[in-house]
Amino acid sequence: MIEAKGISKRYRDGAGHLTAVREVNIRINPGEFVLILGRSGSGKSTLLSMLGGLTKPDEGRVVFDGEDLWALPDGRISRIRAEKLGFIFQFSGLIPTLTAFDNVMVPSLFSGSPDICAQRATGILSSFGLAEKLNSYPSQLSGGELKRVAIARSLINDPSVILADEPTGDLDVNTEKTIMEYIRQINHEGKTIVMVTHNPALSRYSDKVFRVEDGILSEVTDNSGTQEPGLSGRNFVSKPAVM
Amino acid sequence: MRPLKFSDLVIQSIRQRPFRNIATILCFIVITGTLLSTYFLVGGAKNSVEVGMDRLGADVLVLPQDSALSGEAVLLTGKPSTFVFASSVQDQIARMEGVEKAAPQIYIGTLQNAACCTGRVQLIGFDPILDFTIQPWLISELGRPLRRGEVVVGSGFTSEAGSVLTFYGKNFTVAGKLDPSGMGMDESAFIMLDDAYSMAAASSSDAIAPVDIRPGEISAVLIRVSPGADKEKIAADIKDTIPGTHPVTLNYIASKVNSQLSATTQVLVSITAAVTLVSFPFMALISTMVANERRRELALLRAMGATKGFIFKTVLAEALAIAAAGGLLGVGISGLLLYLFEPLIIGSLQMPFLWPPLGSLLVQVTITILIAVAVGGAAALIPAIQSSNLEPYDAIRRGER
Repeated sequence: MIEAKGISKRYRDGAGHLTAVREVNIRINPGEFVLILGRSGSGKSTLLSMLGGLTKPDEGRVVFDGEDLWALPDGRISRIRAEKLGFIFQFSGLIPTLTAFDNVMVPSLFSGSPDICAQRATGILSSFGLAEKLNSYPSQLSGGELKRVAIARSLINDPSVILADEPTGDLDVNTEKTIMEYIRQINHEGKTIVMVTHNPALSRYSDKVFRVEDGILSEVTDNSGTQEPGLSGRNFVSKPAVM
Repeated sequence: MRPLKFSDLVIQSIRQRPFRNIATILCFIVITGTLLSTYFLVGGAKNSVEVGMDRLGADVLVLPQDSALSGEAVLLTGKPSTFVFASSVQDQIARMEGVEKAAPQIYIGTLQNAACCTGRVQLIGFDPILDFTIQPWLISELGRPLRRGEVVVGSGFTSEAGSVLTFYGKNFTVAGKLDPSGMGMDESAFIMLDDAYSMAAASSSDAIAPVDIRPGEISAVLIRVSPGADKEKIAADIKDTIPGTHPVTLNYIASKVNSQLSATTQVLVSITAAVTLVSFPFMALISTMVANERRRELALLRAMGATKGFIFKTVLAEALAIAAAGGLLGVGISGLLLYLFEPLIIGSLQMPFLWPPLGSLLVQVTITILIAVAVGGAAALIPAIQSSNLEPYDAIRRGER
């Protein structure tokens, strides 16, 4: 479970500061598919990076499986990122001089189980329809294939949570649908998904939808059927009807 | 499929920037090449002097004052020369306190392109009774002393045992060949003192040009000092008490060679220092550029679980690998060039030279490569620290724009 308690983040902006995230409270339960909606610059990516231990909040705490993430030493946070979290970014982020297989294997360098991961990488890439592309370089892959390799990479260490930042942002509608099906499939296999996007149409894939505006988070939809509230924000907006 | 290794990550990163890597490697080639060349010349000369003086077997060599330069040239490079002083010098030296043995030698430069001579070489006549430098070698290698009409040649001669050499119209049979020393004796031929005198006496009729040497004249006195005696003091005493003499010791020769080499080594050291000073900011800049270009990639590694230490290690390893490659190439190329052009280099510098011992050479090669690696590592240190401290998500997002 990931829980953010009153986290805020400010960035220097000229002489003053710009508040990207304001006192956000959110709880993400195991196995949930959580979508965070917001326009460009709304603070949704900053929020995701704080939940994933990539950006340290100026205020508040992020608790991951009972551990206060930012109270941990770098080595421990890195270990959590390596073993329990998988990241998918808008761009594929593949290393151009490594093959698809080697790109998927990169996170295994940090989990300490490269031999197991080698078998796993072949399996995941094959299940994503990339069995023939194991030795292809990123320049030889299509946009959809690049994205699937990036998703495969996020799964290689078998993390419990996948954090996805605009994973379909640069894809056409058909490819977007394919990629979202893959992500939903991953969720159905028991992994928690936290995804940020500007595209409200993707809400239908998720259990809960949150909206971020000017750094303030509000829950919009809860399709999960659970009674437990998923958030409490300072400027909480009451739940609207299901979209 | 083979699991990915840390080295694969480093190698793939190096592959992405071939031109900049070549530029950096060239810097390291120059740095290590000049460093190794400096050691090669200094170490080779030092080794040659040590081996040569040891082979010579004398603690002090006394030459005529007015032929000091010619005498030193005979000793260091084997440049043929003829000079003499009175043999009474040898008697005076032999009587001095601290002198255990004193053996005379006579130096005769032979003629070039003359029917009477095999070629222009340095002929050295030694006294078989008093000699303590050539005779021991002859006994151990030939199992007998040298006979009249025989010659022992230095390693620079192509003649083999049994062949005949002609000097001033007189034939000498080659009895053996000395091991290389890098000094003048490699280009010298050794005969018995009486043969030298009789050859000189007959030269007016047997040779194109006569040798102006008469019995009772000698060119040098080789001295072995008594155990515990101070060689430098004895050399100084000889200079003070026997006018017209020029004593030479190992220290003197070593400092002479060093001063001879100093101009060359200064140039080489200056080149090394200049290249290092110019290259260091260049290499630091390249490391910074590479680290900046890799910001997103490094940030992605952080997102995937890399620790700060891993990022530091990755950036540093790339710089170290390039430095090591440059260092290896540098020592390889300079070693090959020095090996191929050794005669030309040594000939133009007019200095004694003997390849430094293999062990010492390997140590120097290792040190040279380590210096290159240290310079490369130092240049990449700040970029490596900066990269390890970058804000991962910020770097990833900046890379997306």
